[in-house]
Amino acid sequence: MSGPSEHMATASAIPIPSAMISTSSAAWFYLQQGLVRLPGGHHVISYIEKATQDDPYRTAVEASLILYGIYYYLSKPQQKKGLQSNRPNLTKHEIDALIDEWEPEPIVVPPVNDKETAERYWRLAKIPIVENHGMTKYIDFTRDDKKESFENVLNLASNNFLALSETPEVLEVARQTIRDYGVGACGPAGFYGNQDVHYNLEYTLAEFFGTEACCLYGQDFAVSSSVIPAFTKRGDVIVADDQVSLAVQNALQLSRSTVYYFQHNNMESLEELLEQLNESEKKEKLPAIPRKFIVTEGIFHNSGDIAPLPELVELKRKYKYRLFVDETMSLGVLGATGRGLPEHYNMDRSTSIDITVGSMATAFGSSGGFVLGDTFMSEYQHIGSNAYCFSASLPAYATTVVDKTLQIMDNNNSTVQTLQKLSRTMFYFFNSRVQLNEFFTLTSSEFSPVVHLELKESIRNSKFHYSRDSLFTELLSLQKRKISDVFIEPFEKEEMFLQDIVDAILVNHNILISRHTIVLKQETLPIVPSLRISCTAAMTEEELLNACENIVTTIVGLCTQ
Amino acid sequence: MPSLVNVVSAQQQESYELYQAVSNTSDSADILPIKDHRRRRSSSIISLVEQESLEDDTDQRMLPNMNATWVDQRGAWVIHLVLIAMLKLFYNLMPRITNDIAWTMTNATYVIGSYVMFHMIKGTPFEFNGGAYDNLTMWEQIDNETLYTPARKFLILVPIGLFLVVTQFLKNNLKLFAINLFISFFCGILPKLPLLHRIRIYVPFITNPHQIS
Repeated sequence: MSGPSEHMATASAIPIPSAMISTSSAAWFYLQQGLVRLPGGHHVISYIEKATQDDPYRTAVEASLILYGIYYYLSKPQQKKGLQSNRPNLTKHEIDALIDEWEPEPIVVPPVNDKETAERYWRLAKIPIVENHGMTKYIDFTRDDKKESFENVLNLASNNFLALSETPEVLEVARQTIRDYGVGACGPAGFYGNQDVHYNLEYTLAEFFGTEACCLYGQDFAVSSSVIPAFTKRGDVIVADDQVSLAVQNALQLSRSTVYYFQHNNMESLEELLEQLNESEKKEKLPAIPRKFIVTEGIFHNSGDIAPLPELVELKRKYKYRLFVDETMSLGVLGATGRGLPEHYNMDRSTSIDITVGSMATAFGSSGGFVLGDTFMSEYQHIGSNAYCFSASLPAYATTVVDKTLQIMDNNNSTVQTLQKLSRTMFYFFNSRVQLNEFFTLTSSEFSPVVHLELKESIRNSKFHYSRDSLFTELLSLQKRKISDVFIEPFEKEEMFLQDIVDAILVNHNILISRHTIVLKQETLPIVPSLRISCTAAMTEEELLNACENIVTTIVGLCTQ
Repeated sequence: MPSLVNVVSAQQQESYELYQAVSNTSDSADILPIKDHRRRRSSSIISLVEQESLEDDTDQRMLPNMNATWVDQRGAWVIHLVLIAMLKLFYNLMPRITNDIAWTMTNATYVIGSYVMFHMIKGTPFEFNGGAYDNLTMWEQIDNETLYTPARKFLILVPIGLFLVVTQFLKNNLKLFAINLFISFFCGILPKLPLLHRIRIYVPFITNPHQIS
């Protein structure tokens, strides 16, 4: 049998050096000799003879491919990513030493026993624990592990603004539902958690607020942080107000989108930002158009302000954004019949706001939250929203109670009107007190049933030696160093001062107001402490004004000391 | 005026730091996003996709990546061979196509098809982790980016094997051999090499600019 090299010069168009011919001929000759002796060797020989087509270049190409294939096949798996790929080369001793060295942070706050921890965790002793059911305007409660107890205290710290859950008809509905359905849902909405009452309430809510559909959630704080991430991903654009509540801040972090902030309720700032984003988008020529959202709140949780909806809607239409409004505090409160922010501005919800987040734990006096919007959006949440898919749905009675409350509101808007009248009375009362306004700023709107009193920046500076910006800078530096145990002394001092005011009002006048709850270590936006006074529709004007008078005297008394 | 979307290094990505620029200035022209996921990478011809940040990594590990897990299954391996056989059958049934051209077409269809699927389209078709995989091709997503795994070995050996089979039928046609080699090498083998893991080569009209960090 002759080697392929004999025909080569004629078969190939490319000239081949003679040295190569002789070497490859010799190699082929000895390879052949070897292969003939192996079982099945003649098959290999015939394959090679066929495959080469008498061209050494083709043979070389094929041989190298085969060799690389064998090399790849024999290589061991190799992690290319994350911890495995850039793990430092430590010996077993070093690893053990590191593990021994590590001291985990306590998961739970240690019990208050020594003086230092008591100072650090002073808030624990100030939490009121209600004795009776707590729905009435006068409540009994204890504090500090039942060391202090208070009776018949006027509750100006409640979020149950409409106080309709106290009415006998609503209580009767709750009673009846518990008899029929029992307490507690079995599980998440998709796993036998939703009963007929849940779907009924979704229809009722959608109808009441004038949207196509509604989606019910088990817990109101988790709604925003579940809905926004369900509709956004990396590369999307969110433009948010820079005073949104912690729930929305969490949502923005989880959305994984690019987040820009505009100044609080400042529409020029928003427009300028949108214009810039628009221009930069034109310049960049991205392959895919990102989803874009404007995120704001109805009544701001942190300040009691309300968002200028008409301007927002105009801007969202002009720049083609979607509008997300967290109406946790404003549904049932704003508007002539309590239908929220759009009604307040005489607008239509379904055409102005794309996604509304509402809570049933505030004005409607039950628990849980919901999302209002069009059908597609609501349907998508059934498969795409984590809190809907994985967390248990509401107990049946919590839904029927809201159903009844909405029915009462629909028939008769006097409760909402009473609440709005009281809110306005309270606002103008605090607003007109010159002495109070020397020390405190009223940040809330006249329509908000919650009044936020913030210490004036100059007073804060002289008394506690810090400002909103300096607090935020310090907070950032702590967060950057990944210190989770945030303790900033001037902030704590101010919080304690506000707590002293709360305590004095409680002890002297039997009125419960509260500090605004701030979880500083979680905050990603500038925030300062404030006092929070809320009214409910169950109060009479006289009662409220008396209480406010007492509050103002106590505050002024403590501030002028 | 500073550009709106600043290019920030991975260390500077911490959102809080960036917010500082917002709170201290009244001029919103200086506003930086809290977390910029739209950084565009350098416009050079060859670029490397950086390792994910901790946040992205967490998102990737949240659920098994359904886009890539099926590749490991033996049934999915068999499909490659079945597809190749069916392609060959299909081209043979076409009128006036000789055997060598049919093999070349089979090779080209399979290799270019797998290039589109494994190396051109990025991300996942499912939305379950906020687009944490949007930067990675399917080939890179396989087996959580572990190289030299059985699935990868199979997938690289198929185009090599197919090429070796095809050359059997090409006789002395050097032109067809060159075409097959070109397609197999550049679309089937080169993008799968470990050396080119996470490396992007800009090819006009084929590759897109990066949108997401």
